[in-house]
Amino acid sequence: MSGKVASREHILIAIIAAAGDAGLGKVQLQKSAFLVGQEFEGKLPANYYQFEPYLYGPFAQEVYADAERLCDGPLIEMISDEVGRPTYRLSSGSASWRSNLSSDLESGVKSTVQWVSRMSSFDELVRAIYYLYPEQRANSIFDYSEQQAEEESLERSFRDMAAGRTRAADELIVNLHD
Amino acid sequence: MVNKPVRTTPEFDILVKALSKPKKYPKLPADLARFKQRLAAGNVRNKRARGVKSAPVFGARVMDSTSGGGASGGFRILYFDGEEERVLLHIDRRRELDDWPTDLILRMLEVTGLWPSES
Repeated sequence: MSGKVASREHILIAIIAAAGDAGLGKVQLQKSAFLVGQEFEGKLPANYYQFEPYLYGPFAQEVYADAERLCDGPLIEMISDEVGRPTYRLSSGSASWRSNLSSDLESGVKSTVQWVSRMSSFDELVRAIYYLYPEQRANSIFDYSEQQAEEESLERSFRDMAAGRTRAADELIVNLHD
Repeated sequence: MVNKPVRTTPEFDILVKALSKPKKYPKLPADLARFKQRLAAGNVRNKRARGVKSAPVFGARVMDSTSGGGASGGFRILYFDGEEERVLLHIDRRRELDDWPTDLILRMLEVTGLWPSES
């Protein structure tokens, strides 16, 4: 990692940018920021989002506050789907934007956002997060099934393998030791 | 068993990252590194997942140095032993090495075309 720690807003923009044209819905953004925080704990700015277990898992109000503030600037835009749900994405004039994050953080952000974006539904995403981080179920009102979460995880793994989304195990091991 | 490279899926990676947190199993990366060496060399005790017929889907154990104790109390891994590589698919803390969701595995092998149906 380079010496300079990126600001949390910069990391949030990188998360949104990693989703490409499809962008990220509010829950996808919230859970992506949480997962990046978990993976890079200790390597992020001191004011990085503090997530608390909430009704549907990890939540930090500041994620939405920052996303909305960023929409006032030139980099991020918010579009609404047919029922008014917001999606955040890099604005059309910002296609050349580069994150300048360290390579491990940038790669971690991309793989996290791709993983979140492959979830077929809100329920699958919440179940997956609860399966990975059981402590985040503390205040949940979500009807969680461990068996369903485990089966969905296996299903995603088989689909990853079939689609050729694999990498050398050594890469994971090196990442974990960094 | 033959020497083959070992690969992981993004799903496996995210499971390992969550388990490797300092307050969970911080020694898992080192345990996994040792397991990977042995698996690449085909030198692990494994057990074919129950009910998958001849499909090359196996369970194996990874020692848990964080908690101590033998390999029998460690993690279990599910992997696909392909012709050219071994792919790590899943990791958890359950005890039974061959007790995986058979119907789901068979369905996924079939819908993804990874292994022909044997029915």
